[in-house]
Amino acid sequence: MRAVAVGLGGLVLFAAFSAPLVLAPYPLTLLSLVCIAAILAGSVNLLMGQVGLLSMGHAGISAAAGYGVAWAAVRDMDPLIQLAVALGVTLVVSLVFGLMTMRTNGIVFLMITLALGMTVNGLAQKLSSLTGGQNGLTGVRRPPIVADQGAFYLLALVMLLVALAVTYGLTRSSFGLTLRGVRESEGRMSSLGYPVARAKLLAVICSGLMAGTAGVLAAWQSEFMSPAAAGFSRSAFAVVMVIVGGTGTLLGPVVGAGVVVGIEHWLSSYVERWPTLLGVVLIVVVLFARGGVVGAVQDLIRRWRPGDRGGAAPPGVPALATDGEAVVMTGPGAQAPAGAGKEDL
Amino acid sequence: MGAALPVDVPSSPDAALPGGVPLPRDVPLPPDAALPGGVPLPRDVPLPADAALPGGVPLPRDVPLPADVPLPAAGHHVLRLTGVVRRFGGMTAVDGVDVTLAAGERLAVIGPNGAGKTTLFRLIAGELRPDAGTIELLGRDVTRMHAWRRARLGLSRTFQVANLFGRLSVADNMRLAIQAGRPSGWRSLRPVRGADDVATSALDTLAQVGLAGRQADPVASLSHGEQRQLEIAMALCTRPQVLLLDEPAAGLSAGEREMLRRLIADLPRTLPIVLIEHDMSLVFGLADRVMCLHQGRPVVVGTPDQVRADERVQAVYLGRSTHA
Repeated sequence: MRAVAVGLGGLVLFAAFSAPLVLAPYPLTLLSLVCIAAILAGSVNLLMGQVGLLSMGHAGISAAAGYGVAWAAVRDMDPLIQLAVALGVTLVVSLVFGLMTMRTNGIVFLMITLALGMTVNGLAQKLSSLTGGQNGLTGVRRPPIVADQGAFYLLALVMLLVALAVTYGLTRSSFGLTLRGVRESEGRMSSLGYPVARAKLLAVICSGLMAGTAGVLAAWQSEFMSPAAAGFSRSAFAVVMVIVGGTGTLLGPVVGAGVVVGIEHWLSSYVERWPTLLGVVLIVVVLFARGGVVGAVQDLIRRWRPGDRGGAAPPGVPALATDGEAVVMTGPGAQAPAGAGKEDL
Repeated sequence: MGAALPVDVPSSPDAALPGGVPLPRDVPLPPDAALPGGVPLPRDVPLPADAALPGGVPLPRDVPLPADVPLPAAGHHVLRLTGVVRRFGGMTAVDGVDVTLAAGERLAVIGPNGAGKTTLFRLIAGELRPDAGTIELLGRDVTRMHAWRRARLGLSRTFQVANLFGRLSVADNMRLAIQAGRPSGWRSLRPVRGADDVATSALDTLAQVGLAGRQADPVASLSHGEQRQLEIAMALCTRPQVLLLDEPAAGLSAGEREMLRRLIADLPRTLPIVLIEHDMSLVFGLADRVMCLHQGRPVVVGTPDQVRADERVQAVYLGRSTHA
């Protein structure tokens, strides 16, 4: 079983890395967009799956990073300086998100992140000397080394793999366990002696750095920044990707990003009302596969695997219980749909 | 003539030898002083076992300390509440409670529903701030201190309704309890390992509360009684200096109650405990001292026997049943 998993994973990675050799620029652009969306969705999933916090404003963090890069890029600054500016902006914005939400949870957290996302969107429109206002910032040039779409795709792919590795490390660490403890019972964590607000602040900053990475890549990909990047719909799409792929699973956001980007950029050329289609997919997942695509595949594997009938997770649990964890992170099912999602494009 | 010579007239304190040399006073006996004939002075003579008071009354030996007397170590109290008040809107839930908990003491708080027991607990734990009064924990004023900092000082509590990490395993619940007191920082990025690899101290604690071998089970699959056992195991894992138990027997069967009573009775005597309990029979077997709360005020504080016999306590409880 494990050998099959490793084999499948290797095959998917091989296909992903050799894509620039066989694919035309447009499919490579789509794959780059999937990687970028997957990083943003992964940052949302880190909060949703581990801490149980649903952010409706993560596109705000990601767009702020994008504006940082774009602002520096249109002034012909060195790519490293562009990154430094983006890092600074991301840290400041994440810190604001974290400080304003660290004592909240549930619907209050959602509303504050929503408001903060809208604030970034509003600032992007009003601070026209920095952001170009409604017109946005045009003339952003990628660093020369990734000017070619194939090279840029490889950069996005590597960054996605780094983000996945970091997420995996975090969820396995005792910090990850602390975050799941906060998700299950904040009161209990306080009474055990955990500074819950501080843990949430750190989680939001980690998640924000990941969202910022996606924002930098998005600015370089489109070579353009506009307030729409911080719009509510971008934040909402990231949440949809997480739910469709599987909340709390490592590869769920990748699958979800594949599905959403696929519908938005590829199916939309055949189906005019693609948002409706996306809505239908979301409803089907919520009704019939609460654990998302990855969760559903895990359930299938668990049912087929001989001698493992005892530890079925309670329904609706997006599998991060101890015994489920190994399956979530390394199971073959988790990687197959990731491949499927990309191959569809 | 006639007058007797004055005998044993105390010398005046300022009496002196000629030349102003002070009189030698309180000269210690040299250690090698001996009776005539070289016999050593008798020192540290043990009291004969059959020694008796006049009239043949035997000497009192090994008298048990009355439970309401603070233990000798209680020069400072581990917990002291002074004039603690907490209001919710127009209702005063806790109304001027003064109580101290001595080292090694077990204090039970009883009282009918709505007497303010749980509010008092939450004030002690730091989940609520008092409107007036002060709370001292282990010699520090913690009145304004956040709950998690009080926990780090050594205050550990269980919850009335089991408050566990439901979707995590027993092992992860224990791990969270154990790693709570540890310094975090970069070390918190190290991986935690599988269900079998919980620290042996945690396994011992699990066995102590009767949950040996259950570490891989999800908490949601434990029975109500087992969840209470896990609550206590987790509270013990944080190596508490003071343990607060909020109605540990709530919702348990008679058999589970007895097991829980034994579990609490077997906790180290050095660990001070505050126990909220509805069930008087459980309290009277465990507590050194009982405080009966009614409408936020302590009605009676005393030994279990005193409280049981007190008419006011009976009135409080009977009053409740007439109104219920």
